[in-house]
Amino acid sequence: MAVIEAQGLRKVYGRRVAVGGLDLEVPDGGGVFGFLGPNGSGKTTTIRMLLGLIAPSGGTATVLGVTSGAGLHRVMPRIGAIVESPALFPAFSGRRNLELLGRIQGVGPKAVDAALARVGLAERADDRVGKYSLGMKQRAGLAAALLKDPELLMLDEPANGLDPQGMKELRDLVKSLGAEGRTVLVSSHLLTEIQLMCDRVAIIQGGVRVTQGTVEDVLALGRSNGLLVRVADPVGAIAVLGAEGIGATATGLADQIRVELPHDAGARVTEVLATHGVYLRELVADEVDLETVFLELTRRGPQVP
Amino acid sequence: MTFAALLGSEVRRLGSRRVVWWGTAGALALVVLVVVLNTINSTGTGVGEHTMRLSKLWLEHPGGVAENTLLAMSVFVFIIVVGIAATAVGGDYRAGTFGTLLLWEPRRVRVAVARLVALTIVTVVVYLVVTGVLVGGWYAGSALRGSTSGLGPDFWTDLAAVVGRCTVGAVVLTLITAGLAFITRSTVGALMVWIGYLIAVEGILAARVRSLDASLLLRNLSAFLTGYRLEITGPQTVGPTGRFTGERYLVLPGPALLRMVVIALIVAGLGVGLFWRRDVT
Repeated sequence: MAVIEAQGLRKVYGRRVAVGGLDLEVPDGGGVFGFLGPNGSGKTTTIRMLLGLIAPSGGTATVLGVTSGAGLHRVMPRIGAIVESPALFPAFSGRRNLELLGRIQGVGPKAVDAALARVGLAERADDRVGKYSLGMKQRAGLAAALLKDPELLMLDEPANGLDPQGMKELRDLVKSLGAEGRTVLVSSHLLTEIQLMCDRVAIIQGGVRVTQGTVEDVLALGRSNGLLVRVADPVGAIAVLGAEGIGATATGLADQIRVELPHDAGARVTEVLATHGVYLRELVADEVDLETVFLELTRRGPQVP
Repeated sequence: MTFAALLGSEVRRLGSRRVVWWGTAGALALVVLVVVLNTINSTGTGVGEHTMRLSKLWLEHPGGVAENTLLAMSVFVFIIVVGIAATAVGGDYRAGTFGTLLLWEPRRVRVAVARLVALTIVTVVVYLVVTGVLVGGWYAGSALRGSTSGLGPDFWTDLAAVVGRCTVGAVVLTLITAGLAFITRSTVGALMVWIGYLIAVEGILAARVRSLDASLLLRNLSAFLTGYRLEITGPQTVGPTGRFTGERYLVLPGPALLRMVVIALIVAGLGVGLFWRRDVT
């Protein structure tokens, strides 16, 4: 069963299509699901529709088995969320904000303390939210989302405003939440972070899904792995390798070529080139990362892994 | 998620707002100032000559009101509760916190109704606290340097009745203002609509169309708060028998309350309806 399922989900503002018939399936069973897309691709709008904050113009969406909208109150106690920048009362302390929210669902002060401690905000819990930095507000929003002890978390750009240390802590926290059996949907444009913390991803562009699958499956949609070689004579090196049946192309950098061999074939390249008097200055693996695939896919359009 | 839990959270949220505390503190400061100045400046020696008299709080004479200090102070509290109501809804739109709230209780009508009920509770408490200090202070001042004599037999009953009516009036104004803030999604917007309405409709339009005047909020509020009928007359002409004739409208306290409640329910209902239907971003 999918914890989130959207079919043909649409949101139109006048003539502008924010989400144009999105199909999305976030599977049950815990783990971290990355929801990727360029700025303005409809990630936040989709999350708002899933949470019932805005009404879809078309299509259907279910969250924890309940149609988003009228029946959402039945499952909302099991959902924690941050949508864009967490909105808390600036005149109240972080603790007061969480206590007031928690009261709605009968969550007591101990749970508030635990949530604040888990996001590293315990020491500043009694400061006014208006005095918080962007990163601290983000932590407070995350604490509010964790307060319900949710089985589904939707985190929209949770790394906004976090410093490198904060991003690492967030990554560790999200991974631990996923490992606890919770399903965490993380939307972001920080692709390296997503690659480090997610098990599965969906990429959207222009409000439609470009691809969805495990991180490995999506990475496989990008170009094949290769080797990047720097030599004094790139043209000569390409010719030498070609004579041995090894594909190689210029990368555009003056002294660099890309060799179409797997990462563990460095010795073979070294041997062939050295035999013909061409000596390497550098040889590194050409890694395909999520960012590369993301850029390629969002240029190309919808793909099936 | 029970409504009581939501309401409890809403009341506490309102109770934590600075506007409630500053507004109440401002009203109390004014009350204390008025009481102290009147007590200090009290003159006269006989019962009827004291300028600080308990009967100045509220005194009725046949067919009307002779003294109305309580009512005058109530109008000031009305302004404060209007400000609290506008901020209590508009402030959430400005801070974007309705979205956060809906992540805990997505049933929007519940959220809006809880906010309105919480505002009603806070309004009643603020009004009664300020009025209590006024009445208590005035009594003490009158006893110390003035007069507590010359009261009618039903003074305390009449005083309680006018406090009750003013409390209802404050709640009506609170609900209308909160409704306007839900409609305009802004504190300033709600207050601007109020000011625009008072100038354009209650001021300019009512002066031209006297029949409309009797149906408007301020006339009905006035009749209800005093408990006496209000007569509105248009241009008068001298008839063939020498008598004045022309437009004449009566606003009676009972129907006035009904009109006010209907107006409040329409505006608040419209606000809740829009909150239910609109996207929260």
